[in-house]
Amino acid sequence: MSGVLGAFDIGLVLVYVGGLLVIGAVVARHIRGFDDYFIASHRMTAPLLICTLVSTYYGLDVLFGGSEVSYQEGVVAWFAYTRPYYLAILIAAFLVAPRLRRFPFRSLPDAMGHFYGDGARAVAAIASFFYALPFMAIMGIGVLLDVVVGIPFPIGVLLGATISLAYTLLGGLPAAAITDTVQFVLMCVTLGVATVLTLDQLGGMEGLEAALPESYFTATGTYPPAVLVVFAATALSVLVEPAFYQRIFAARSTRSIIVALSIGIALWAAFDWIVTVQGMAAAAAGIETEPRYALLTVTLDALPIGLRGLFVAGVLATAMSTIDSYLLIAGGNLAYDLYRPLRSPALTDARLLALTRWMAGVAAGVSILLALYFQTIVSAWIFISSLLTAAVLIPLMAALFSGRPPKRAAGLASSAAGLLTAIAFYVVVTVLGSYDSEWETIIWEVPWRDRLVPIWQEYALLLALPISAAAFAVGQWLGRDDRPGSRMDFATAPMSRSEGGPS
Amino acid sequence: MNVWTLWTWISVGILTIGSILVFAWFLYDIFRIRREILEEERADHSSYE
Repeated sequence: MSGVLGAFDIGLVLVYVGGLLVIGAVVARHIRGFDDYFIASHRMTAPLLICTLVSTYYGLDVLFGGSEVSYQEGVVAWFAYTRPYYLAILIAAFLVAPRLRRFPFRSLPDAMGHFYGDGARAVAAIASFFYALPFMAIMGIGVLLDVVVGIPFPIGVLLGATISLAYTLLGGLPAAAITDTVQFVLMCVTLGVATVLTLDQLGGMEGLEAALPESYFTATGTYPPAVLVVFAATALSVLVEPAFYQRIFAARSTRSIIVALSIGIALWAAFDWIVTVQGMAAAAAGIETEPRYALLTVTLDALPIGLRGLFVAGVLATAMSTIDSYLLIAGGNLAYDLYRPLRSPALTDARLLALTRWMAGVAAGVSILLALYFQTIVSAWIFISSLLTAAVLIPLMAALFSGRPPKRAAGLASSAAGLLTAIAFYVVVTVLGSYDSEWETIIWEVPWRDRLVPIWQEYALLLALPISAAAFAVGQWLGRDDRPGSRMDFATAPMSRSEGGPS
Repeated sequence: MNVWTLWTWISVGILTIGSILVFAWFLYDIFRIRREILEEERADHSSYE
């Protein structure tokens, strides 16, 4: 596909990239402190939240990953994989966000630190840092620039990361959120238009039905039931998603976050379905390609010159809106969540701001190295997502929804046990299992009676979450009663300013 | 028109028209936020004086 862009297309992409840098520079003039930079001083209103939430949470993993599944399996990509997320988002909007907004938190580890102390804060910060590293999106930009304009992969990776970092360093969350709005419109409109043109060439959805096997239109596809359960369980990660948390804390009001997430669900559902359709269109068109690139291939084939440039800008937007937000979160994890409370509690606001910018740069460097190293390992993201969910979900939800404060030992035990179990599970399955080329994952076949039971690498959460819950119960039973104000309604008690905020 | 076609057209509508409407809402909002920020900065500036 090299050379598919004309001069006009390349011009459009360059205008888009230049515009991002200008926005970063303009917003930077109004950044006066850490709160401005990291949580936009609680100024984010519903439309800004919709744009930044939708575009941040949906990156190239969804675009290429969703179409990869539908290219191979059909509508199961939408029915089994994405729908549980909408339920989790509803829970986050109506139950979790209002409780979190009772406290002046600035990050996910802030919440863990408040409820369970510095040990649990450190575990959450480390898990959140690795989760937030946007190396998959950076890798996606490298692949995209290689495929459409022939820029070598390592240079594309460096370009994508550097441009995203530049405007994030300048303007922090406000710049990321404002650029997200442009990216949001670009990615939604170009994908919608591309789908209309693609379906027009293939005879509409009726054409897809005629060209594809019946199983492509079966809601459960051909996946084993246990894998469908795992797909649904991964949706729990929404409840501990660092980008969601940052935006919940940055919102102007609880109402604006509820409105944003409710409208966001409609947009996410539409986006997911269109991605699913494009993957199926590639299969119906008989396109022979690596499944991950099915959407890219079928769309670029369908679009005329001019619209191709817009579409490439839209795909870049999808990746960059993810990269900017997560670099900021990863930088905050190192500076605000780890260094400040553990090493320098008296850090001034100006130094915290400077340190967060430096640490966003460090996060970009680590992400570039991982993008260059893990060129083909998609499951790396599932691994990291599992680590965060295993470490944080049980103790944080227990703290938010219990009337009495849990003991610190319970939080630390639950967090550490969940994290270690998930890591141990991955190590054991990787060592004892083998790569299955049909499902593109590592599967360990365990003899049980007279048959072999397949244990997928992705099953880690099914073990880690119950163990995390059990460790929480043990910690609560045996731990020292060091809870502050244990007779009060803990979940409604705001923490002191000095506990959560920068000095 | 079958259910797949209907849902696909609804999705295209939500993505294109919906995202443009949200963007228009954002533009309306951003000028208000900008005015607030400038007023705060002006207040800060005058308090230094």
